[in-house]
Amino acid sequence: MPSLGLTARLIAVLVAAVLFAGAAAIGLWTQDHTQRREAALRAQVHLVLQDLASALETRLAIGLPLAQLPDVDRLLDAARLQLPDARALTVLDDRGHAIFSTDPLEVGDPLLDAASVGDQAGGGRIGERDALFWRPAFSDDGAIAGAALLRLPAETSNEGVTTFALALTVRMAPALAVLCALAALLGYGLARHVGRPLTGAATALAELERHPTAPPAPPDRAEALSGLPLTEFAAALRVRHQRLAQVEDELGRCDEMA
Amino acid sequence: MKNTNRQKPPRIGRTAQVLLAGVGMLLTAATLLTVSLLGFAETRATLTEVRLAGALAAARLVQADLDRALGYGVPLDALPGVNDYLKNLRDRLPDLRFFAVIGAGGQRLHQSGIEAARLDELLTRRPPSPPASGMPAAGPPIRFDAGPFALVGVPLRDGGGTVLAAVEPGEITAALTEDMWAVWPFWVGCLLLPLAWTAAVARGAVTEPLARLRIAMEAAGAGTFDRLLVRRARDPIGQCLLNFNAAAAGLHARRRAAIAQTEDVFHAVFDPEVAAAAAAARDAALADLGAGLAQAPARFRDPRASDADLFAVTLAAAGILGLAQTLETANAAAAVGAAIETLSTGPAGVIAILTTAAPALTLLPAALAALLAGLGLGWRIGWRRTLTIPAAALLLAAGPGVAHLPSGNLDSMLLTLLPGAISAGAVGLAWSLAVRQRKDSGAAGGLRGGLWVMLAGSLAGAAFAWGLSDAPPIQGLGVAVLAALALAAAPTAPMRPE
Repeated sequence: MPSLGLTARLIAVLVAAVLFAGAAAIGLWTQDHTQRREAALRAQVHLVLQDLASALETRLAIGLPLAQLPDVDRLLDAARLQLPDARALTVLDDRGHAIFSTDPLEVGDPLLDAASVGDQAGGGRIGERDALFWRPAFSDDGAIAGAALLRLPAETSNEGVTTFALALTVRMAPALAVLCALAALLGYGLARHVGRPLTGAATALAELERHPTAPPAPPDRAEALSGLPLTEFAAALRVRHQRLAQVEDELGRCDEMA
Repeated sequence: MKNTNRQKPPRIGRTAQVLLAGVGMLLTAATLLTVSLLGFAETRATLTEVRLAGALAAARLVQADLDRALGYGVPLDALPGVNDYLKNLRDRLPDLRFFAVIGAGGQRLHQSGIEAARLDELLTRRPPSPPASGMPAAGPPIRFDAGPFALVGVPLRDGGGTVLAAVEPGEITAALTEDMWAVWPFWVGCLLLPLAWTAAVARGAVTEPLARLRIAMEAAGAGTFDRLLVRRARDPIGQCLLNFNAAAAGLHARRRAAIAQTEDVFHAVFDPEVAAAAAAARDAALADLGAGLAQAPARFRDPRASDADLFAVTLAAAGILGLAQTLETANAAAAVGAAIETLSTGPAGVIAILTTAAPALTLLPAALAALLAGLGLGWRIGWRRTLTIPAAALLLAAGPGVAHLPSGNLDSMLLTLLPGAISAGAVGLAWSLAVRQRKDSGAAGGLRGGLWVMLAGSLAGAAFAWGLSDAPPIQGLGVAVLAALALAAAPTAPMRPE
């Protein structure tokens, strides 16, 4: 795998830091928004269910069983207007079967288990397709007569989360682009700043390779910053090249005497 | 040949580390701040609309009840108990600030949650009412902002008035600010991980290559020219390495040329004394040059301390995040506490707690075993692509599993165990690789440097886990993202031992 140069590495790590921070922060804000949105939605749902349950209890007070109460469909339609995103609003009997509903197809279906209907505080449950919220309705003698149930499509909540995440990402994209460009610029500048004394050291080493027996140059800033023992290395090279030059001369004289 | 590097890093290396870390932190902080400012604005706008929808629903409930009263011929201003009714409704909807009922002439009739004088002042900013539209009230809701409030209003039947409900967007800002400060460990994690990355890159890009070159030049200064330095792009440091190689190779080439020249003289001369003189000159020169030039230089591939750092830090963070989430979902802490308490209640209690808390009580030893296995594998095999790539890929696959962990029951034991064990194994592997690579490279600071890498990655992962403890899907995504980043760093490991 080819090695990356100094500039590429510094730019890569700074851009990666920016992108990672951006993604992490968008994730956190999306999570926070999800929680708040669900809390607000839940409060609104329970308000509607509470009102519906109160209306049912008012009608139960006249003594009729839940299944024979008049005008319940109108109540459901009015409540449905408060939450247009709801899939259906239903009145259940004490066994959890639908007896009135804005969706006629589910009348008679068991939508909740009897134990959950009997939960005095009501409840909420997130299913695969729908989120279920319900609130019990009590008859005059305090017994649970049934419950008001609301089904909200799961996509409603998911859609809101996705829309928020996308909106934040799109709004953030130009700023992220600017920050990435800034990261690249700063990485490039840093690489040049760090590379400058090292370029001096590289030039000194190149000179040594070309002219190993040249007179020694004084130690410069590049040597101090880089920590490289250029002077000692140059001296070792010079001594050995001079010795080799000496033996080349001697061998040349021997060759002449041949 | 071992590259034992125990000297202080060069000034330029320290400068690079400090500057890169500083720039990295500034850019990260700027990004977090920018996203947060936009997030504030977006959340406030979105939640204001959601709260207004709730306010509108409440207003319509009031509208329905008041319309009924108006239908019976009861004038609004004579209706008793309206304020208490409005207060009751407001108590059930905590996001709502106040209700108000306005008469046909725009006069204030009833209110709850706001003082009369304040309401009068706000009403001066209300847009004109739509004309009466017959019964029942069918006009569209009105929407306007007044002071710090956002209001919705629905008309009453026969132009009898308007019901207003208000929310306060500024409250959202205050709540958001408080919540964002509360998750400060998350912000710390977001800064810690890039800090660790920049430290690893500065070390690998500047400090270690310079250290390697310095050691080679010091050896050359002592007469040993036995190594050619490799593996570097043509940046300034790469040029230094290349020019060092050229100088060392040039010296070796000149030595070989001198030996070849001696052979040429042997073949050319007839006088044995001249040949002997040439041989003596050659032998004296080779003796003076020393044993350090006797053998041709070899390409020097040394293990570098920072090679594993990027991978180890990121994998440790991902593993800790995944492990924390699985332990939390399995309710491990509570299960251990309950198990300890029931030990004294006898066999029946123990059996009961074992049944209900089985996933948690199984997860802890499984995670510990996986952690030890990861530690052992990393220590035994070391920094190799055959280990790093599968480990990171496995954790990347387990990431979504962390997001959808079922909450503890017997049926879901395997689904909880698997991501937890994989996460714990990844943590063990990351820790052992960081330390093993430092040991292999003989790095300055020895094992201590590896421990810092372990700490940085683990702290970052723990910080993310703490900050995102209420959001398993985001935690699962975090595990996957970090594992993907670790996977990107995994192929820098060699295939074969160095």
